[in-house]
Amino acid sequence: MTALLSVRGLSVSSGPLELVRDVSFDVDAGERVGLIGESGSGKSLTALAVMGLLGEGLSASGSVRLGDEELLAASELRQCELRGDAIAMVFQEPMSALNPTRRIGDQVGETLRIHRHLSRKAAERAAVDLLARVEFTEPERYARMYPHELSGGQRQRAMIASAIACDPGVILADEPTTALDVTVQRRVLELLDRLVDEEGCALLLIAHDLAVVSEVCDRVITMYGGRVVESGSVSQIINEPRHPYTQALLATSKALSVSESSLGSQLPSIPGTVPSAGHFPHGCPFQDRCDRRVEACQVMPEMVETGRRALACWNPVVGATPSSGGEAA
Amino acid sequence: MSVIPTFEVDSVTKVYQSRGRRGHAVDALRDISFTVAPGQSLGVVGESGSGKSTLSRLLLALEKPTSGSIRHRGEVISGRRERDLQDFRRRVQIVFQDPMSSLDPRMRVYDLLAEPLRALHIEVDEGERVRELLDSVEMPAAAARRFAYQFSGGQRQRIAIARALGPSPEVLIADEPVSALDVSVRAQILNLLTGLVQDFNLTMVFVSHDMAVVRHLCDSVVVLYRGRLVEMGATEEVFEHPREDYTRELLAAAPRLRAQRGLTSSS
Repeated sequence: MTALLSVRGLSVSSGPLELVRDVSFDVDAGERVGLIGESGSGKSLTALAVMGLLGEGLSASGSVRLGDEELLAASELRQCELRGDAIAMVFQEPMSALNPTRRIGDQVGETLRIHRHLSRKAAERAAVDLLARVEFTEPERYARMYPHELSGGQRQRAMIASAIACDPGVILADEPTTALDVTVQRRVLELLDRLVDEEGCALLLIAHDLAVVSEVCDRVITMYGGRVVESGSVSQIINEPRHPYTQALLATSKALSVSESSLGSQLPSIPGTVPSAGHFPHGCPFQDRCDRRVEACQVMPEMVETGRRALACWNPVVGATPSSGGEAA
Repeated sequence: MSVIPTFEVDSVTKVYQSRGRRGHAVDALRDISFTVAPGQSLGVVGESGSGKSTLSRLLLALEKPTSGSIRHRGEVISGRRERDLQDFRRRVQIVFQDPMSSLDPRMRVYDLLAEPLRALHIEVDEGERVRELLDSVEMPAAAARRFAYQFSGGQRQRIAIARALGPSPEVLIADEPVSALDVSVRAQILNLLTGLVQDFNLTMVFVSHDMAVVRHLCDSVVVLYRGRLVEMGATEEVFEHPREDYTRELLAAAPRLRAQRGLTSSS
């Protein structure tokens, strides 16, 4: 089976500066793939490039295929037709992604007016049904409200309603729960999970929290410095991370667990900070913060694929690490 | 020998009356009582609308309870005139969630750190103190010449912490100080706070919705739900044997690392 969304050699540049470099991954129908990494690792830019929503001054090269169609080569008009219809995005900040001057029902139905040419009335009726599907108990009432009248979790659910309006094959969700309370976060994640089950669509979930990704996703892609450094199944990544960066992210997540006491102890953390764009070292972008650095790291390692697992590292972590922190499902 | 508590919160209720003739009243906090002992690290846990930010404003004497009282080292702080609070202002400092909005973008780091010293008339060698403060949050002295926006989120929060430490406070109130940070940067800041609490023997009130962070940092915890205190106790006790349904729900909702996908329904 060919992947629903297939990204090959995707690069995003701002003038001479390459912000995302040679990113490749697939997402199949019904599959949930998590994209992790710290701020500045290129996750959001990758998603925006896939959506064809890069800002001015940014350009994408490589290939993004949605089914049989090449998106990067498509005309602006064709991209508009596909966006919101075949591929949809849920943003982190519903307050800035929703229009504050328009009613929720109007905004949720807009996708249907544009792509399905529904009348305003029909679109608003459909919007009420969509709001019910994302678990609004009084969808008619909420459809008439403005974004500021909703809580953060309700806004995020409204945005998800708008994203699923045209039954997209692919949903990209960029940190959809980062700004939410834990109980609301869980509800939104469960909702996304259920929709993928029901619709059989492909989900790319961007998050910096490995725990969130491990609960929702089948596979994990780790990005750093604009590159994919590792990918694999959730169990591979949680039980035997091979890239030192993935391992470091995992160690922090494990230590900072709600189910284990670590009172007063020092948490493992990654030394230093993510450099700003253009200030990553030549070769492996992680070498300056890496405790497994070797001479070879001055040259960027090739991505080596073994089955569905991929790794770009000269001196990977070997052997299984104790899986104490990874709770069996 | 009894130790005088750092804070005694006694039957505190805070009602916000909205303006207008038919304005309705909102109970932000209802009949809250607890104490904070010197050297204690207390976690205040709750979600949006639980009243946790109102509570931190009351503890800082920025607002006055509608009824009940708050004492700091035996003295009532609520409703006091600002000039009577000068000593209190030095002893109790705050770190906010978002350093980008709590740090003035037009001020250099040097002035950000020196401002509280000047405002509280603390007589020190200013330059020396700024260097010391930067050093205590593991920032280079050269950072003093730059502006907050020139730093990453984690570094900005270090600057905010250094600013709070300036007046040598005894109490640090931290309102969601790591919520906006990435996991690994969060770990760095938590490590820093753990070290500072030990080194300076600080009493800490740590307000957060993140149960994992509270478990790591606090020796006791109060759980707020819609303005009411639903549970309190030693952290280990509350996390291992939660008594209230709401606490259990909060714990169940926290994301956990799993080796295989599986969202367990929390309901």
